[in-house]
Amino acid sequence: MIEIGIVEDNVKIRDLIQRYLDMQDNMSCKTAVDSVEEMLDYLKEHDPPDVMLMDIQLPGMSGIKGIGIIKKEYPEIEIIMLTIYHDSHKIFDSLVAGASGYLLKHTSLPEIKESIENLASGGAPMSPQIARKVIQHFNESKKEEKPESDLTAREQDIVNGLVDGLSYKLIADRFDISIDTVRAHIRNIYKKLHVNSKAEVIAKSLRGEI
Amino acid sequence: MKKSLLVLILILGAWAEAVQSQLLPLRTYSIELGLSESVAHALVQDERGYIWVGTGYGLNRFDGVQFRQFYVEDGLAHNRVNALYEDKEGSIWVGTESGISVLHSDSLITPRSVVELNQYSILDIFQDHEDNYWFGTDGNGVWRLDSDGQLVSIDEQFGLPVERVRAIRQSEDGAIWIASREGLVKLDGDTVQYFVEEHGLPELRIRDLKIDQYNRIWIGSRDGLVLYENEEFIVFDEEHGLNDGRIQTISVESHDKIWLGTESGISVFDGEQFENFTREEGVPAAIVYASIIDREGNIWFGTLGGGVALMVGDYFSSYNIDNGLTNNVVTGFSEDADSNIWIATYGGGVLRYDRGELTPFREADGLVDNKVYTFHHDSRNRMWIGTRDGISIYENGSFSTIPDEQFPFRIIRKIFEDEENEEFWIATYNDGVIRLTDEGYVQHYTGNGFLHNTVMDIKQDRDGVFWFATYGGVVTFDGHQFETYTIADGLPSNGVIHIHIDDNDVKWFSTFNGIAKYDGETISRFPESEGTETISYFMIQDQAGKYYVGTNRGLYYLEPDVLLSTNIRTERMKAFRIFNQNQGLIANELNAGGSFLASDGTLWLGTVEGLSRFYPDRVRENTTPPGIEFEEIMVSGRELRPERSYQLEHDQNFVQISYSGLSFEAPDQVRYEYRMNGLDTGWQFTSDRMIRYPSLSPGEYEFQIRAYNSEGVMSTITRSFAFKILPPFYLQWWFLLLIVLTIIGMVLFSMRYFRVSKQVDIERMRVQIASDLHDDVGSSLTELALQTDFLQAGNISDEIKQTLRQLGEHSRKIVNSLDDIVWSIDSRNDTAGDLTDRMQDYVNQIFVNGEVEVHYHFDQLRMDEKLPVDVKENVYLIFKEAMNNVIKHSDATKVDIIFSFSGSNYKLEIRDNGTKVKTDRRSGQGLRNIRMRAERIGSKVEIKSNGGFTVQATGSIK
Repeated sequence: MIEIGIVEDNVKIRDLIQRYLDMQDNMSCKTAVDSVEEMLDYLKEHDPPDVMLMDIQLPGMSGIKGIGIIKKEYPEIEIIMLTIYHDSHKIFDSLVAGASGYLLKHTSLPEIKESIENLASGGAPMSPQIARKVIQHFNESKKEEKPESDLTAREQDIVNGLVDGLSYKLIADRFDISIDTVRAHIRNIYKKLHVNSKAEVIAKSLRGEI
Repeated sequence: MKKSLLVLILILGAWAEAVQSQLLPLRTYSIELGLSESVAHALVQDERGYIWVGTGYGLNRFDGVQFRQFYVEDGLAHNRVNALYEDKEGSIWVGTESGISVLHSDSLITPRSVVELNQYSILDIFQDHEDNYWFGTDGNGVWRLDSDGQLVSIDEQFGLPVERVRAIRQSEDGAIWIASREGLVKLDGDTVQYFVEEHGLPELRIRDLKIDQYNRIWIGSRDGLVLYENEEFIVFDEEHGLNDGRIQTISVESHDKIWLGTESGISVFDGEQFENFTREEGVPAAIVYASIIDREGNIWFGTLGGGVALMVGDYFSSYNIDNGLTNNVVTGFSEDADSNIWIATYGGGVLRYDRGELTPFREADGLVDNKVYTFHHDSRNRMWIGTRDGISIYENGSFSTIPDEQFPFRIIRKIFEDEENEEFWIATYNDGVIRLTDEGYVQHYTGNGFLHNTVMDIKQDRDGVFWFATYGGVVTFDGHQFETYTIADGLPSNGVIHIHIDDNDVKWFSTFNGIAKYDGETISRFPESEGTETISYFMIQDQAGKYYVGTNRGLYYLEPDVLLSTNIRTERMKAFRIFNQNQGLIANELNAGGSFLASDGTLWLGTVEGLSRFYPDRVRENTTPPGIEFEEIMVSGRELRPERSYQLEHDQNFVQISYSGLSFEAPDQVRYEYRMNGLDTGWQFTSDRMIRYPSLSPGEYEFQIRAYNSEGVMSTITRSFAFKILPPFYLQWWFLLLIVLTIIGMVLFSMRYFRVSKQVDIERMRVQIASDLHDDVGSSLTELALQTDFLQAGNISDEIKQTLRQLGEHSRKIVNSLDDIVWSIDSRNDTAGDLTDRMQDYVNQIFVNGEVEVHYHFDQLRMDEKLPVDVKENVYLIFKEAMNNVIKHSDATKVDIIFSFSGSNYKLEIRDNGTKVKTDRRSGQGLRNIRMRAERIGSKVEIKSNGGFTVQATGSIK
């Protein structure tokens, strides 16, 4: 049973998703709130969900900031960003902050369900434009010499494949690995992305910028 | 017999005394040259090299050319200066008629510690090994300024009887010696020894005391020179040849050269006897008060009434009508078998010089004319004398004249004997050259084809060829025919005065315009740099083979090989030197024919003001580096101090710098190298003592100067003066920057003001639309779509399910379009990279899992370059339309997507390999949309069908 939580301020959309997911046999969605603050309050008193769907534009604390705080306190929660439109900057920011994937809100409910299942079973979505930003991100990091967060050669290959617009399957074919392995690599890349961003946060706090 | 011999010797000795002494080579400086007064009491050289002269009225600083005076108004305690002393720190202490002044970097002050002595006349100043200062006063004995600043009267402390103290010195053992009018005192710690006549002093009154470099104690008394040795006084006086025992000053040049200033001039003592020089021998005054030896070894004398006299060496001794010559214009010399030197004068007949004795012979003695030019000793022991009025022959003590019928020519310039052919060649001033034999003569003159009638010299070379110097050039005669060399052949002038043939048979021509060398092939002239292009009367070599040239500017020493081969300044300087009046040459204007190398190695030189005898061996090398000092730095009328650095305004750009190279041996031959860093690239060479820069541009400058003495020895220091001329405010960087920034600022401001204000409005409207769409329409449609999903999940009929599905698809399609619009107006998505991201996303969305191979060609794309919103939007929409075309109407399996953007030009190309058309709508709505969108952004569209299908849109950003 996958426990799901939702943070979304549009009540109608939130109810629809919650109801749909809760209807599924393998899913339970007991918690649906409309702000990060409320979710944090909830988490203090309840067991954390396995997966959390999070809107970006929220009253009060933004979703991106919320991811950082929630991931810090509850690193085991997989967070999927929900966004009304395809804003690669925001998507990437949320990935760096700790999200494991993203969904457009108008994605059909069965697809949302599928994504959650994928994520729960270890998959991770990554679009070409996000892949491009990932490469950019690591190139910049390289300049600051943080070898522990460099991508491995294989991870680099996979990101490059994504940038070329290859599907997970084509990538898997190209490198003669399974799709699951591709997913695992991508999850790993996400992790490195998070580590990287944490290192950045530490460095910034040391410089007194936060 | 023995006795009479002795008497004879004594008589001869006394007679020798009466012989005229040669003139001492003194250079004098007195009031005519800027000395403040002609009575020089004291002399000292400071560490920079200046010579300071204390006179009866004023203190003078001398740089070799000019005197600078200091008086009471400059801080001098009194205008009458009695004593000068340089202490260990290089300060000059000035003892005056009333008190002491100390000179420090050219300004005078009286230290508070010695103010008490202002009431006394100070006669001597001395700093001992323990840094105590001792002062000798006139009437108040000795005072000592201890190193702790305490001023004490030594007379009181030790009960000394001395009043008028002339000199204080310290001997090697540390004892202080005090020379006074009341005798000599030796102060050794607390032991006082007092010496008077009964201890062996010839006189109680002592004027000077010197302790020399050999630690000998010399005492100058009023009655002779006294040496204190082994606790005894040894007196040297009239018995040793001193002409005046009243000694004023002592300077020790070397172990056997002790110079004295007396009340009758200058005497020099060689350890055994004296040589005396009085006013008649060139000393400018009778009483010589002071003497010093400077760093270069020059000896300076301060006199009463004659100013300062300087002797740079004893390599010239001279005679003129004051000490024995019959006429000052000396035209020639010769040496007879008895080593007597014969001197020809123009108007005074001839003189015989016999070991200091000059014996004249004139018309009255049988000489044909008193205006004599030349001598010749012939092979028959006769002396030929060429005069203005023919030839006299001197033989066996009497003169005879060659009669007119044998030789009717006048003005004889040179007589040359051709011993081999037993004939004479005689050069005349007006009648060419005459070949005289026992049978008669042959005249070569212009009348029979000879080059010129004025013939000045005749020489014969190794091969027996005769060489004639004429005023029309050089003529040679090989026994058969004459040849000529003139300006056309490279002579510096046709006026040739003298020919010198050296040991290598090289001919040297002295002309009215310098020296020329003829090596048998070419005639070479000296470069102008040394100023040798002047009237040259002769060239002569000394016994060592060194070359000298007599000119109208003195005697030039030169090394022809160096001067003719190198351009290196310093090497040339070492190879050239001028001896003139500054070194004791009697006059700078030498005479034609006035040169002779005597058998004793001395060169006899005839000038228009007497003769000088030159001792080449006695010339010492002057290896002392000259001092170099700035004299005055004036910038547009304002005097600046060289030790400071200045920032000058742009109009203070007239810079005038004067300086002195301090070498007294030959101040006129001091040379300078200067460089103005910031203006000149290299060192400039000059003899000028002043440099002017009339109009320096703004910039940073450093003026550097160094000096060379006459022998090319460089000063050990280079003086420099740094300054900066600021650009005028309208040229200074900050002003220019300000102007530029202001202009840029104004332009930017006005541009921004209009554009930004407009853009802000558009942006605001866009953001409004975007957020409205997002918030309202987007959300609503999303709700709608999700609602259909939710309903489809329920238990409903297929027909309704189908309708719900279409409803959902439509609303999602609208959301997607909205998404595109929001994306395109969001200003954060405006780079080319954002556009291609979007394109790739779209491709991923429509081609699910690889039924079509898509290749991206973004190589020529600058990802970070910004695209205008309308271009970005329309290019994306064209792309979308083209892709839709592919997916809907083509059987393509491969699509190439090319997008390039350079910042101004862009190109989008979508190329597929579809050959079959799925439907016939290929050229329908889609392509019309593409054209319409392209038109909006002024883009050119090409649609080609060539074994595939290509849509190409190109355009540029305005």
